Amino acid sequence: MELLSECLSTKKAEGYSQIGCTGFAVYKKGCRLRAWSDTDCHGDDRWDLCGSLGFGLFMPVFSSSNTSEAAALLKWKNTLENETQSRLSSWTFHPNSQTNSSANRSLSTIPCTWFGISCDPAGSVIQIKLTSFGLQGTLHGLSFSSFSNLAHINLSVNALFGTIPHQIKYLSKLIFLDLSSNLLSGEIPPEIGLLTNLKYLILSENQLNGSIPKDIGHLNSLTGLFLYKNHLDGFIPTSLCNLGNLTLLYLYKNQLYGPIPKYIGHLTSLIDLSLSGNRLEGSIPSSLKNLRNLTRLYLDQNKLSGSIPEEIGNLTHLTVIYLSLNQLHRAIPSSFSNLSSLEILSLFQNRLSGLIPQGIGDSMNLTSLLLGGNQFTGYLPEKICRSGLLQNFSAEDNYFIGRVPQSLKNCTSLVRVHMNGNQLVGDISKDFGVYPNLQFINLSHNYFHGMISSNWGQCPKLGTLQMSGNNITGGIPLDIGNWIQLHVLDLSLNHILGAIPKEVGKLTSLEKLWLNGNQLSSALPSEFASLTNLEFLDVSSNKLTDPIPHILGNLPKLYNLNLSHNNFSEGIPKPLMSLIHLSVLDLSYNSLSGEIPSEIIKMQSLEDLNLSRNYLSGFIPTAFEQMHGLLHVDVSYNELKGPIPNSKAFVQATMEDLRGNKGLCGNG
Amino acid sequence: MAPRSLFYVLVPFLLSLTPALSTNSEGNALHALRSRLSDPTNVLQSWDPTLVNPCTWFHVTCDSNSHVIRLDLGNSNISGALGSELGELKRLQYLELYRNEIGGKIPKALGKLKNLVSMDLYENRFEGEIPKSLSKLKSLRFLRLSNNKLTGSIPRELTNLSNLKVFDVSSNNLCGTIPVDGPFSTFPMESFENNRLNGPELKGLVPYDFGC
Repeated sequence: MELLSECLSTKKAEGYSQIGCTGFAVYKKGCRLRAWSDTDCHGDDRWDLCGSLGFGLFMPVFSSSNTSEAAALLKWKNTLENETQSRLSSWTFHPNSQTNSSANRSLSTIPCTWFGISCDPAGSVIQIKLTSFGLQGTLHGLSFSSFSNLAHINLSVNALFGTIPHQIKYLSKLIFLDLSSNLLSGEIPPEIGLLTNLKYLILSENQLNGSIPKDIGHLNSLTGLFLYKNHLDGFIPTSLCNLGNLTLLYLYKNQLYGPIPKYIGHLTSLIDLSLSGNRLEGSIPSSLKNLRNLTRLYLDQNKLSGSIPEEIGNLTHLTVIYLSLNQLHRAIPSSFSNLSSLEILSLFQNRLSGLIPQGIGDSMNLTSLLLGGNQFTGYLPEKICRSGLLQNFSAEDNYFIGRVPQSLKNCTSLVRVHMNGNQLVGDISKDFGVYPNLQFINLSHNYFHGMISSNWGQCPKLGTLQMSGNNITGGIPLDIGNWIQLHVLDLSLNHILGAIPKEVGKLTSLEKLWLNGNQLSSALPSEFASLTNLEFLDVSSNKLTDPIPHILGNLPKLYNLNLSHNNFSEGIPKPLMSLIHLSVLDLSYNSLSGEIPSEIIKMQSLEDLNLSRNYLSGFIPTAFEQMHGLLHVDVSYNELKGPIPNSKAFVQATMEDLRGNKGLCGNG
Repeated sequence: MAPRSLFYVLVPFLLSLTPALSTNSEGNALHALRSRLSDPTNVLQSWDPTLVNPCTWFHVTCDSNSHVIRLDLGNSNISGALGSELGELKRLQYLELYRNEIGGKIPKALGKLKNLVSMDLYENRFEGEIPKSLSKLKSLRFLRLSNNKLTGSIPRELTNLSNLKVFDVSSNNLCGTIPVDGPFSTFPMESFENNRLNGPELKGLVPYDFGC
């Protein structure tokens, strides 16, 4: 046991600065104050290197450890960018420059009153918290070994760059480390595995690369591990499965590959598991069955194969299951009917097959059921909307048969529905109801029959209605004018007949309209002139007659117009040529006569023009020579004569595009 | 979980609770664009980033592989500025932003759009120079930048755009000379009028437009 004086000189000789030199001087670690004149000083106790500032301040009482910590903080501050330093103006040894300081503000409060710094009752730094602070710089100037009591670091949402120094291992008391949302790069130092008190390790949203160090498996106290949104690769270390206290594991959006470790079942405290958006392959381990508290499971957007383990259906706490965008095959286990807390089940874009377990809709909390892009067969679950909360239902691109379940008809919570690309049957006007929240519905490419129901007009938020490729009959209802929320309407490829009601002109939000492939007759209403937001119009392959309404030229945003395969007569209206953004114009297979207007020169965006199979006569206007954007033109089977214009599109036209006229000549 | 640890974890926990922000990079790019724009008439209301891709968003058109090929926001009362995120729309063919109040610079990142056929930024408030990077747009056929506040000279590099058929920079604040090589020999004078341009480039003399 040395005397204080001997202790002081030894330490000085070893390069440690003396902080405080009154009888009450206390040094960090190992030199405990016994009496005012001597101390216990154990030579092999760890000492902290005080900053090289070499000042000899005299501090009454109190730990000098806090001034060595202050010095370390100041040293770090000096390595940061100038702008950051100016924001840390409270980090100073001259508190007199601060406002509101009492006359006797003592140095002993340093650095505990500094912004972002918290201390314990003895004045030692326990927390550094500078989130969203515009912190620019690295961690390399921070002397971690100076902070023996630091338990909580939060530097998230800043611009810290460089690597995580391995000296972080000195923070033996660290419980919470959050460096997320910075620009940190390099690998996670394996030394982080020495921080055995760590409960939360949050390094997400950085640019960290390399593998996850297996040493992280030594962090026995770890409750939350957040490494998401980095560039980590390699395998998920099996040692991670030792973390028996882990409740939250987020590794999503990295480039991890290899399998999901089969020992993952050892993480028995796990509540949330997210491995989404990686390159993981192999099967989903059945050992997941041991995760009895698992509530949220995200394995989507990987390369997982094999079948969905039956055992997952017994994890009754599960509320969210994302397995979408993988290569899973076979059927959904029937045990999934037991998942009575399920809110979201996402299985889309896999190779799943078989029948949907009928109990799937049974959960009273189900809000999203996403089954699209698989090879499912059989019927849709009968009680699919039992919860009354179902918002998102997608079953598109499968082999579903039968009618739409009654439960879906009455499902007033629906917001987005995709049922396109199946073999569903039923009367489309009877099997659907009124949906106050419905925004999007696609029923295309099924075998629905019946007429277009006015119910769709009672869906005040319906923006997209797609029913292409069914056996729909009857006419377009006159009250379609009330469906004013519609932006996208697709009724193509059905057996709809009658006239297009002029009320369609009331749908002023309409952007895309497909009516092609039906038996619509009569004229195209001139009320279409009010559809000023229309970008895309296809009424081809119908029985439309009469002249093309010239007011169509008033649709400034139109980029695609297809009127082909109808019986439009008379000339191509000159006002139509005002469509300056039109890229594709198809008027083929009609009864159009007269000359091609030279005003066509106004259609400067035109790239593809098809006028074939009409009765157009006269010369082809030389105006085409000024239409430099035109790539492809077809004027075949008309009554045109004279020279072909000297424009790239015509010169490069094939025989097929020019034949069947009355005497076109040119260099072609 | 003890309440104390809940406190520590609440913020990152809640953020992670929406895994829903899709990995779809094109949707994320458009979402980032939306946050830069001011949209008083809510034309971007349907732009929901939680959807698996942006293909059902209004004013967005995708191809059969769910890649964005058209962005149709002409005449939409939009203001704000563009950012580099638009460069992520790798299959984009038509960028239609004409007749709005969009300001700021034309992002260099637009040069990444290898499939772009048409870029219509006319009648806005774009400022700064025409980026040289636009010379990388090998598929470009239509480039219409008229009625903005663009300054500087017309980059000579644009003469490499062999597919460019329609070019309009009229009514800006451009200076220097008009390129004459490549497709520029076909553009009518109207494409350049109402600027501070010094007529066609005279070959053989100093080729650059210094500090204009």
